[in-house]
Amino acid sequence: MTNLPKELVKITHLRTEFHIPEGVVPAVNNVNFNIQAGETLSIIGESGCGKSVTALSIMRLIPDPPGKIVSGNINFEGVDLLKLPMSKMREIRGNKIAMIFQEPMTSLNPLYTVGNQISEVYLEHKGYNYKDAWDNSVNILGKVGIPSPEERAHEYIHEMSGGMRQRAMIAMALACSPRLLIADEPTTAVDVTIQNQILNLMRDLQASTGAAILLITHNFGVVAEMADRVIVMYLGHAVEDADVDSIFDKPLHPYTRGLIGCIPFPGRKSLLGKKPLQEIPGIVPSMYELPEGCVFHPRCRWAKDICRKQAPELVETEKGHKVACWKAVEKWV
Amino acid sequence: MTVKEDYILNVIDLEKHFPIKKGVLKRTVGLVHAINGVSFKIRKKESFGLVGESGCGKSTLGKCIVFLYEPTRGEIIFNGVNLGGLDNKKLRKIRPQFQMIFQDPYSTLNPRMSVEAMLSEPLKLYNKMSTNERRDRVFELLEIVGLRPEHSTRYPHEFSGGQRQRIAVARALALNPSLIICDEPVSALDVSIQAQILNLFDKLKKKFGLSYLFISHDIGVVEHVADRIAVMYLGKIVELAKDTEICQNPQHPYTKALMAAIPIPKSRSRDRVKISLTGDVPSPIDLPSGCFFHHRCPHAMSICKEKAPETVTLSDGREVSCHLFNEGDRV
Repeated sequence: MTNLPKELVKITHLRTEFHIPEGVVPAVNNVNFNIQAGETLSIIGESGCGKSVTALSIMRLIPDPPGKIVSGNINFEGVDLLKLPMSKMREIRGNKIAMIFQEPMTSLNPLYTVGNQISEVYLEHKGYNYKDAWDNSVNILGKVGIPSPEERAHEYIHEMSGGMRQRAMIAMALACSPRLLIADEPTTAVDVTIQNQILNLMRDLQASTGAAILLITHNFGVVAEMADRVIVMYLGHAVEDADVDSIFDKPLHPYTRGLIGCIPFPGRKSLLGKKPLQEIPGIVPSMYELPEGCVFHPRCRWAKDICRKQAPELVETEKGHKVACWKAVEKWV
Repeated sequence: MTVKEDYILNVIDLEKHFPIKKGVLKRTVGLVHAINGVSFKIRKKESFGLVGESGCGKSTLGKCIVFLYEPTRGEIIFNGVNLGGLDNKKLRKIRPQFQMIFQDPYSTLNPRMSVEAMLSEPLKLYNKMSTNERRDRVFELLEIVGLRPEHSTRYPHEFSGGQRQRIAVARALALNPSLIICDEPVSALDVSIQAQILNLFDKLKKKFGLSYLFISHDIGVVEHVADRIAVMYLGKIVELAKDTEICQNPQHPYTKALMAAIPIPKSRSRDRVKISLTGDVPSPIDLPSGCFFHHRCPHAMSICKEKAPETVTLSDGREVSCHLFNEGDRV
């Protein structure tokens, strides 16, 4: 990221919908962003804001039906992933783009040993013979910090602890040295001390492989420690896009501000005294009945008439800092 | 008569072991040592926080205190009454005074009961109220937790997670308890909703003079609510101190590592120096010898492998169980 950054992924006007009996859910609604090579981009938001669907759209793993990528481009290394046939997409998944999920217990196969599952990646993408594939699997298990990987490779996931399972999944994702690693809530199911180990591991591996990471999380602490850049999502919209320090030091969108103000973090009491947490009034509205205009206006205390009528676009107000908010764009006081 | 007590709850040397049964004859082949000698006191109108990683026994402790589990050993003295010595009838009589709120508001509310039915059930069981009085009380409870009277005819599936947790809080308040045990009450909620519920807890505490035992894995949440915090590891309290002391100036090596592991949502957090704990929490079936933390502890000495440390009180009043410290050491 020293010289001119190279765009690894360029997503434009992505819209993913789910057609269910209750109506149409626009889970991802006109989202635009880029990921540079070697960068860690974090998407943050509350549950149901569309962050996981964005990740699954990149992988083209949206279950169809009911889901459908309606419009947009996902440009990865100059190729539009949305135009690729599934067979070509399969060559990219697990190879150039890999993904790790929140719950390793449900995303790894309980009927195969860990070594077996990782070997499959090598057999499929690299065309290794079985022995080489196995040796490489053992090797990568060692790299992610699993002790005595020769024996561990013969184990099933139920024999491993939560932290070990997550490591095994990371090993599988890294098997083919992907250019982009999508991590969907990788530490939500583990304790903080294990989370710390996993995050350190991801950082070390990124330093040695130069992979870009798309980190999806609801935890602002994790964002602060991992991300170079942050996208805040709300109800399928990207509402703010900025580098990590700007997000915490001068958040522009009222939603981002509200989110940061309502986190009780250790040390808050010594810093601010025993003050009540800032609240974002109301609840996240249902996706079937999205508010008109800015989707955040019913919960926003600065909302004016224009917010209720016209949806703000994501525009760059300062260098590298984009926000979708009339207040920030028109600089209301 | 009972002497006037400053403490609402006094837990003395509590232990809880669960047998592991195997085979056709269901013979006991081992024990899960969930709680291994825990003592603490909660003052009247105090919020007492309990933190620890999963499997450290914090939820079991909560359930033992309300006698959902019968403790294997030890005493629980609530308002001067030893709960262990009570028969079921007397226990039922005292139960309204301590209530519990659980983590998952989706599984703790009966889906087939309307809110009104749910909130009036404890009133029917314990109070002699007329139907109208009961209804008024239900409306009052709903208002206290920030819901509206028209919500009373609805069923749990019609509410969001935050609203359900409000209903659970209203149910806990129905019989005017003096102690509420909150077991991860906000862990299933999104942060913006979590803040609303935490502020509600603060408000209720002031309004009704409640005491809380607040159990959570999230130290930020516990620090916000609690006046004092106990840190648990493998069924033991390793450190007990004032809220800000635990977060700003931890002493026990485990507390230090735990605090260092928590990512802080502030700018430039990436540059923070970190102590990383290696390994996993050992199984509570085969407990380690000596200090339970010794094989992960960066300061482990030979004595730590042999002898479990005593709990000592340091100069600032905090309690620590670690061989690095002696009684009365300055912090």
